[in-house]
Amino acid sequence: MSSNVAAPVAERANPRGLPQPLTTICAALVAVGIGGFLYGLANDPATAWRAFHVNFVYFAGLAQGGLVIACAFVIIGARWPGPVRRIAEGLAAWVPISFLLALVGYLGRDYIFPWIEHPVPVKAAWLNEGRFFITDLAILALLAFLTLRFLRLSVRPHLGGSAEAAPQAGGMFARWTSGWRGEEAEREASDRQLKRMAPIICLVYAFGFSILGFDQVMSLDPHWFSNLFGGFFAWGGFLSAIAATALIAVLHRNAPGLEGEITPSRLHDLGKMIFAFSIFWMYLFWAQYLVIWYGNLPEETAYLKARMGSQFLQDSWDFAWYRLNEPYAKLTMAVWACNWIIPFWVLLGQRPKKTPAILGSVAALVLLGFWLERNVLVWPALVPKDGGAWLGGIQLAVAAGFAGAFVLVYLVYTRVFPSLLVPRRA
Amino acid sequence: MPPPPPPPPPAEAVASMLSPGARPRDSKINRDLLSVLEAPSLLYFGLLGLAILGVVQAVATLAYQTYVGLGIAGYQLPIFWGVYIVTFVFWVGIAHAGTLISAILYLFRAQWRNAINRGAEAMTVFAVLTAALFPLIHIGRIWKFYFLIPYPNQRGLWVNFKSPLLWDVFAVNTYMTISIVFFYVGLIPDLAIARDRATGWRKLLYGALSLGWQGTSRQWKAHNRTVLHLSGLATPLVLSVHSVVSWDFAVSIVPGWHATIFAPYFVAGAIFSGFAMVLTVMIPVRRIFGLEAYITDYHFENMSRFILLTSLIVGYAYASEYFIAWYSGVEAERTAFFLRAFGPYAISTWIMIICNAVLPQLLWIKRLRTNVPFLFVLAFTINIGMWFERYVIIIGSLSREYIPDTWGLYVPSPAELSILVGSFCWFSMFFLIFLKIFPVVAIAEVKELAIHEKAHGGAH
Repeated sequence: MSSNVAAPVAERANPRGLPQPLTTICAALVAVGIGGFLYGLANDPATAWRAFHVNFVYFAGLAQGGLVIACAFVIIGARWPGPVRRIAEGLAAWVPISFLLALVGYLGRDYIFPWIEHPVPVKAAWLNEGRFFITDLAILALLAFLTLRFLRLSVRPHLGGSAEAAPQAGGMFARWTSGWRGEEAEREASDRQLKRMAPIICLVYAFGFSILGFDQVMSLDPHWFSNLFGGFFAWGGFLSAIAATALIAVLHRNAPGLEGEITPSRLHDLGKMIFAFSIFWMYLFWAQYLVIWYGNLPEETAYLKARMGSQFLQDSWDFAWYRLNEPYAKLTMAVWACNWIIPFWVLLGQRPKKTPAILGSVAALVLLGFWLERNVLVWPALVPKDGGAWLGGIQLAVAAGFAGAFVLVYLVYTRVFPSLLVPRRA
Repeated sequence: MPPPPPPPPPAEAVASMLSPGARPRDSKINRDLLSVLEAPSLLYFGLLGLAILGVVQAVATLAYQTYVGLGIAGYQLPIFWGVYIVTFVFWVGIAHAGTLISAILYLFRAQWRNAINRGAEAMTVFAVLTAALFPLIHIGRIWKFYFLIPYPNQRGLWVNFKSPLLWDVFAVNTYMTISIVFFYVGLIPDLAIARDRATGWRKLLYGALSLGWQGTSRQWKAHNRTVLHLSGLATPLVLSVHSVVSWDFAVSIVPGWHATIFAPYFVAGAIFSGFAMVLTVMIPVRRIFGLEAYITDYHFENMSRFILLTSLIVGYAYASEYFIAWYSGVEAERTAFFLRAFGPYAISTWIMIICNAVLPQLLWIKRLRTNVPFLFVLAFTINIGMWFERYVIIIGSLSREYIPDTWGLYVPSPAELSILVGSFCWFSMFFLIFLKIFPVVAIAEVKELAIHEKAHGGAH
């Protein structure tokens, strides 16, 4: 622990060029995704757009969560993370792309949002196209702006002299370091401004992502409402970002420049975060479930019934396996397993948290779990009767395309420009 | 830029603490912090007398109420949950700061907690003791309280496990147990220090309570392990207790109560009010006993940040409640929230919003975060605001449920106010006695912090 709480170390850029064959694989996945999506548009546009929406929501939350982790480190002045903060920032490179994808999603709105075709009169003041897209696009645009500004401020003091040395994107390095005032002054200015920006970003995130949760996901079931849903949605994104950070940290543990940096104690801390925040995620679910189950109002229980099946809405302890065959019930249980049951039991001890293979596997499972969770939030609202609607060729192709694009963006950010900062060693 | 000098290894710091040169500092900490225990002044006895007087008048009210019945507490249609339940929730909330500081901040390795955790833990214990009285007062027929305890009585009746009020009994009792254990385990090393310096009856008391503590490395190891494991156990309790209290309301379908956000919203509010109470109590203690060297600007800054954060969460919850009530389109919900802001209890609602969500925003200004008089006033208003938050939720919703025909108004009765005042006196009485018997700042932990500071060049 003592080595982690030392004064912040100087860092340097580490552009290494895109890795092969990973880049090619990602490009191929993107091609598959675009192909699948276009095929879907021609043959089954509803499915294609809904799959698009699920992945848009998932990766938007994941990327923004990465930035919020970095902001949290800045606010509390955490000294343990070291390069972990840079990894979390790398996830945020996707944020501006989220905004562009939201513009694309606008074209498919008729297939995604049921209230456009069947308006709910009592909610017309909120659920109407004009208000909806202006608010949500404005939130995404504001977050994209703040994210880019934060990232630039955050890396700038460490990019001094990189413009000449960088093999690629020298122009970008030069632009981001224009008006250089010397490393000491740059670091001071950056620290000061980041400290001012970080709480603002967290606030915009909390309120903005709650509204996005209400709009983009909760409104798919326009008759249902839960005032914790916005927070629950945002928390899911944040937790998936922690899982992604932990997974990447494990994968990067032998990367050039990071040797000896991904220490067991850093993995331990990441493991603790997954462990604690996954319990908190389940708590947020439980807080909604218990209140709805106990209140037993049909307009509220319908939402849970569509996802968990009737088994979990009985008024007795009777258990019947056949109730789990109702649509989406098993998918919901898979989500619980990935996001809470397995992380809880596996990461309970100290040693599993410090073991890269175990921590990495659990983190990957949590990432998968949240992708499934976003499916279970979206699909039952749109295709209530068919529990397999979320799975299919088009859906998998679109998901693969998104995943490939996300990794590609991360690779460009961490390998080309501005590259993953690594500690500078004498 | 020259590389910064490497921090000395901890072993070196420990060695320097053990060397003769470090001794005076060590015993200065002992002396300073134990001086609080010295013979009390007249003012102290005056305050203690006042507190006891307050408790006595509340006991008299309670005796009278028990004799004539709950009618004197103004219980009538449609409101059967009045100031007693409001005050119960208030005190359970106050009890949250102690465990948060001792358990969660311990796990997060936030060393700044060391100077304030003892006072906060003591407050937690006393606040739970205060809160636990209210269900008894509220049931009216106190002698029937054993119905709350989950064992089958002579008629073979079990308690109603589906009642959230019963969940309260479990939650609050568990919390009380663990917070007392926590408080006591942390006290042991300090009691040993006090034992070694005390004479007479105090020596006897501290000697018995310190359980033969000698400060050997084996004992310290066991102690640290215990604190770590207790922290792990106590952390979920910080969330669960007020969640369960919130479900007393949220699981019913009363408009304004039936909200999924209630559990996290109540927990944040509890931590918020708990920190405010820590400030309200510790600022005078620090001033009167001259503990400025131990409870510093640094601690105030951090507590202020916590208050700001939890205030934002509470403000978020208010906004989200209002938004969803409107968005839902449910007539009863919309009306309930309209009446909250503009109905008969509008003043309470605006007190709640201004004190809890608006005024704490001043803490964005760095200078105010360490301005002690300002913090004292702010913490005071937050305490008021948080009491009114529960008042608004409970009374506001109960007075206007679904059927306008059963609407009614409620005004707290003198009996309730007497017991409300009595609860503050009860809490103060315990705290005043605590001040003179146990060290209010954790001596051993402050020393640990001193070692830590040495090791890291005073980064704190």
